[in-house]
Amino acid sequence: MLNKLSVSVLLIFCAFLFFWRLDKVPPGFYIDESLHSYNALSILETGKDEYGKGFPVLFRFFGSYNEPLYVYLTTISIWLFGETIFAARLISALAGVLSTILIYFFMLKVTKNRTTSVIVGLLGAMSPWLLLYSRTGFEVSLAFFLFLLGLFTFYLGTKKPKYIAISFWLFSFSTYAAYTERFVSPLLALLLIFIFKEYLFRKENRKYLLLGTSGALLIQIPHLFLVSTPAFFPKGDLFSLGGFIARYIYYFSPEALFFKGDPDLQRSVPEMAVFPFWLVIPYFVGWYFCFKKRFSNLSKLIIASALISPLPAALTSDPFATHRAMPLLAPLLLVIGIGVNKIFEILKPFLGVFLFLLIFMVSALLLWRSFFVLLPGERSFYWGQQYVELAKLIKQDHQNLYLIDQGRLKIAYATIAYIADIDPLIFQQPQSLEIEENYYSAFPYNPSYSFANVELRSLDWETDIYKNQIIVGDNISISQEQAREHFLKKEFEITDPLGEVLLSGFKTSPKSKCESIKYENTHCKGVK
Amino acid sequence: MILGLSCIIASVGLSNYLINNKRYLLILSSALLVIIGLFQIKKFDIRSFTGTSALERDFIDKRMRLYPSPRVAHWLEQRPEAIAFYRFTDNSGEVLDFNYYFFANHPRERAAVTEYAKFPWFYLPPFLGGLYLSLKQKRNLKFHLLFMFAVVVTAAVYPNEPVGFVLVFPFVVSLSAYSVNNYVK
Repeated sequence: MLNKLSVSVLLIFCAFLFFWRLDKVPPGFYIDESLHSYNALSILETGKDEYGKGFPVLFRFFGSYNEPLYVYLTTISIWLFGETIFAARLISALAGVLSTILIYFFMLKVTKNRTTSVIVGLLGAMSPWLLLYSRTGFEVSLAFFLFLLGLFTFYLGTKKPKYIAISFWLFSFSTYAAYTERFVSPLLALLLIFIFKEYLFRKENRKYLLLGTSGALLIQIPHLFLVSTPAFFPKGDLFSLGGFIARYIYYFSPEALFFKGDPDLQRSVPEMAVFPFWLVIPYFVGWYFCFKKRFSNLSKLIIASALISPLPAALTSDPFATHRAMPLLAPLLLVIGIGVNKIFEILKPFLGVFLFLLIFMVSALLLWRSFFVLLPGERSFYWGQQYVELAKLIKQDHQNLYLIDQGRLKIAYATIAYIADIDPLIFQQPQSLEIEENYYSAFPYNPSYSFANVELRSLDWETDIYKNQIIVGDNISISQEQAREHFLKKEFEITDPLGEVLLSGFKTSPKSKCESIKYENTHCKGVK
Repeated sequence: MILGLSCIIASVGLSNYLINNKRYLLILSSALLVIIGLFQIKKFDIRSFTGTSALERDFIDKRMRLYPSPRVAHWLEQRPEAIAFYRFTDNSGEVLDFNYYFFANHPRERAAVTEYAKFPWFYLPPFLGGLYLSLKQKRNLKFHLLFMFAVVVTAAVYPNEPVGFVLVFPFVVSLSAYSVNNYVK
């Protein structure tokens, strides 16, 4: 009964936190989200991705070769809810809710204390790290859920060995969800086999280990077919060994976790790090008890997963890349959970709950400020809100041809295609047959696109002003002087909530331009 | 010179206190920490906690427009208490950052600050080990309270480089020495 009540409280809280204004916060529709969702739509309607490749194992996108699980699962949400931002983010949000419930059960198993387990579940849900990626329509949150489930089943397996097999299958399966898990999961599985070798190689447990590892290998067959292709390691250029130790340590630094967070403005929430700042106390307390009981199964599992998880992220030159280090959230939440539980034991239940409620209310207020006020207000540019608005305009206007500058602006084709309801068959047509045939060979990416009444490429001022079209760019793409010189008429402006102009659309006037030219211009031939 | 000497003697005093648990060493070190603290506080301007530049005021004004209620916006963005609270938490993060002490603040170097490592990076494991070992002993409670006090004062004062968070240095040294001493034993 109490268990049901606890889970219900968590579910109601999570449903609100993860689904409220899901299509509006984060603002816009980031390119990684639109790539996943447009390819999901394309798979749903044609059985092929944007390049016309039938059911790929890795999705090429713009040369990033992402794991396929999120795309295939999103086909279901798009089938149910249509081509909406809500549908694109639904699987992620569900994974976030399930992760929170899982954190509750994990803590309940560890502490046997329902109150602290619910509190740790709530803290997990309120962590901007989990919350942000769970409200984002790409693979990170889903991969985290599978990874966490793998850890949980392994922990269960240290008492009931049949769970060991399930754990290895889950670790293996998680490699199809995100690029980071492709490295973290196998490394962790190997390290766990080494650490728990005595237990796993016992006569009565050996069959489960064999079942688990052989099942994990079977799951890897699609990957094994691609392991020799360039598509399997597309992000090799991100690797940087210089400063590795400092970057690796920084993933455990209180500054990064509780005070500053990810420096990338798209991957972070204003004025909040990846955890509420006051959790720094349970963080230290949790690590202390984790080391104190370092020979326990739980501590071994936490320390092993914490040591392995930030490795791929620290090998890149980003200072604190939360999307790449997402698996680290699992051991850190467990550490914080242990800390919260110990603090509750010291404070006695009544004082503990009172103190928690007080801090919880302050945290909720600060979370609301950062997540639902400042994030939509200040970060809409980084989340591509301008392209969502532009796509809505294009969807209404089939008369004009739109030329969107991609020379210096972020890639926008998938957002335009998804929001403007471009038929995937129309989108696939101009794609090169060469790409389809050499899909996994990392064929060079071409950022120019042309579909329906939209063209995306670098502006060519020598020719584009002599065609009847609307040129779209920001204030640097098209300056006021250029607009005056080329007789461009401003059609629309797209602004952020603070009134900053993000994109402007200018209608060309080839006739006026040609009339103003005193000499003969080849581009003016045929201009009426 | 006085600051450096105070720092060295406080480090030696705290190390010996952790190892031998002599009370007078803690008192001596505390007195030296007060001297170091006074050096920092002397240069501290209380207005820096709530004062805002024209650029910051413009930023806050813009933020105010995002809130559904002006009263809530005022409380969360404009009140001096709120500004001081945000600054203090930001400073606390920097004081608690391992990378500031051992990796010259890499990978989050501050703008317009010449960063340098205060300690060699290989001091980090002994420091963490010392922290863990000292926490295991209940008799070290006063030491840890003093450590926490130093962190809070440093976060409040936020001393500029090149001196930096010098009040914390004796604790880093003494905890590392304590750990090495335990290992040698």
